[in-house]
Amino acid sequence: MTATTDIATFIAAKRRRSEQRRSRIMLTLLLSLFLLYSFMPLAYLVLSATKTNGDLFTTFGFGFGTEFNLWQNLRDLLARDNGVFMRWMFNSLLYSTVAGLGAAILATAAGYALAKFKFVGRNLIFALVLGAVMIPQTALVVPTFLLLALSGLSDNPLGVILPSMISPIGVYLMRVYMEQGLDNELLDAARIEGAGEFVIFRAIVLPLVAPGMVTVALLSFVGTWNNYFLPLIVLRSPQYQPITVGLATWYQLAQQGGGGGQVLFSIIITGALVSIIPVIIVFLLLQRFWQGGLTAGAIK
Amino acid sequence: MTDVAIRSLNKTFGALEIIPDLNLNVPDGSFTVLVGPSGCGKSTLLRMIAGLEQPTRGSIAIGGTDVTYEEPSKRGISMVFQSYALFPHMTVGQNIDFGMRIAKVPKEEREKKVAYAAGVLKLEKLLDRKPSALSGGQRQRVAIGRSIVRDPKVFLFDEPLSNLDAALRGQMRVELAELHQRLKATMIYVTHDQVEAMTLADQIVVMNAGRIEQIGDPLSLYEKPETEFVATFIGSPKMNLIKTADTQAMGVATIGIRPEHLEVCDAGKWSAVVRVVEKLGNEAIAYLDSEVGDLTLRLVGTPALKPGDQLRMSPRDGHVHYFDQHGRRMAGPSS
Ligand SMILES: Nc1ncnc2c1ncn2[C@@H]1O[C@H](COP(=O)(O)OP(=O)(O)OP(=O)(O)O)[C@@H](O)[C@H]1O
Ligand SMILES: [Mg+2]
Repeated sequence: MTATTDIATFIAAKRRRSEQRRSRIMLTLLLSLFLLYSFMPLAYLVLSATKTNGDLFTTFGFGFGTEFNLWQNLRDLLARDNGVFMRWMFNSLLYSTVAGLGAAILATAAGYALAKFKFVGRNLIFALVLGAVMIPQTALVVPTFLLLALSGLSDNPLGVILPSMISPIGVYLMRVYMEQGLDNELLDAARIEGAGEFVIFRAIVLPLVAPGMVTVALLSFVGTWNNYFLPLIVLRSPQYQPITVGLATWYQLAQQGGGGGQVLFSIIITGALVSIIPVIIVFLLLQRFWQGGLTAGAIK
Repeated sequence: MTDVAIRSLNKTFGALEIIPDLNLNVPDGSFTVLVGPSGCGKSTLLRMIAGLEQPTRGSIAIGGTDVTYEEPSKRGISMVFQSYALFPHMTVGQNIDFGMRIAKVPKEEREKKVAYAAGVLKLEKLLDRKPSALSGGQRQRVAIGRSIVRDPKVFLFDEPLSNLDAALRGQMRVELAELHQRLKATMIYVTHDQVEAMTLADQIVVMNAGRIEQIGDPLSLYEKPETEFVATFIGSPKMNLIKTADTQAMGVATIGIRPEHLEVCDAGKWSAVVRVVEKLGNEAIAYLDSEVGDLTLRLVGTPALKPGDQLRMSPRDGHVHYFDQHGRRMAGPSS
């Protein structure tokens, strides 16, 4: 080979390397922007929760106020209206936990049936599930309310919990997951060993699809925790209200400015901050289920 | 008596007829191997014997009892799968124990049986491991262990060794043969590896497109294949099939000669040119272009052949197979 071709390849390789570096820098920049975008509201929330009501409106949103008022805000939050905040937290936690568990179990059972059994109408049912994924839950709230009113479940926590246990996206996820991650020969082997269908589901399927189930449980937990419209419409009694609806009533009160409402703003902000803590805790607790990866069930 | 008797079995998936009409007897205590090309219905047949698939028509009897509609676990069978099908979240011990736990076998007996199976299969040190921490051969032993403790009257194997490398496959083959001698149970074994078929079987069933082409012991299949299909399917390298005008004039559509039954000699019948030679040390396989088409030749030792060489050869007397135009074996030229 001649020296010129050597130099040409050298230059080409160098150019390629610098192109790679440039695209890596671009990617990092883009991701940093996205990170900033996601963190800004959170930072605003954390900073604002440390301010007095006065500072909230007079100081820079992304800086501290003139005094550090977080502890006082927390005390005010818990004392307000005879401690109704904790009641709301408890309600939200109850609804979200039950809905998350329920959705995980239902979606796993339905996904298993759709993935591993042949029956008449299977494709139709799956098409309906897919269709349901497209419909936003909010659009279903009014018909759901009418249904609940007919079955006597309006102003009843079950009226929020039961609809939240239905997760079309969960059914879809679990079906796809099991179709690929659950070997048919495993189920056949269990049948030959004499396991009934229920035992197979409990002893073989459930342990192997745990990561998928946790995903569905988490999606439903967060979805229910953040749900505002459904509980707003279904629940009337104050003692049933979840955190979303509760904070909103305070917010309305604050805007009207009556009954010492103005002071409420810093309390609401602090309440909002406290209300995201359980979601973070749940995420951290369930994280370990994903560490094995979504193919934890496979041995190859 | 735990023979398996299959009568007029038919299996159709939707509009697709996989097995048209199949009759088969598997004698008590035999090692029966099902062979055939991919997609010919071997697994489907085995799964119907196991009860994992329902036949469309026909009946299956195990040990004289009709089990056509019986649950898999009540047929007295066990099955070892190609993918091993071990439960990944259970230890080796728990995998072997699984069926007995479901059947609520007393703990002492379970432990005894697990220990026995582990002893037979050299798994003692692995009982507390998860399947993901085992080698392929060890996994296959666990799968076999799980089927031994069921005390099955009939063992079913679906290509159990096909995921293993060649050396391990050879070793496991010997272990399976020993297991059969030790347990004396009826075994039905699916494979498309014909070395496995020839070495393990006392009865080989050659299948093609859902039909049985021939049933027989390995040597009779090798020496007297009933059809052209069996002739080319059994034996490696494949039997040479020759169609020439003079054979057809004798009323024979095709003659078949195994590669080791061609003799090189100066006065040979056909002339040929060597295309490729594979030297394996103890023998050599030569691929030839001849006046009667492509031929394969097997020679002992290391012959001094190289591509481009010209040679002549003839079939050895008494080692020529004759087939009619339907591919069926016939006695010889009619004239
Ligand atoms: N559940 C099913 N639905 C439809 N067709 C099927 C089903 N199971 C098997 N088949 C078809 O039946 C035919 C036989 O399949 P089978 O698995 O028995 O073949 P095989 O002889 O075991 O092949 P291989 O050696 O590749 O394992 C194939 O054409 C296959 O596509
Ligand atoms: Mg198969």
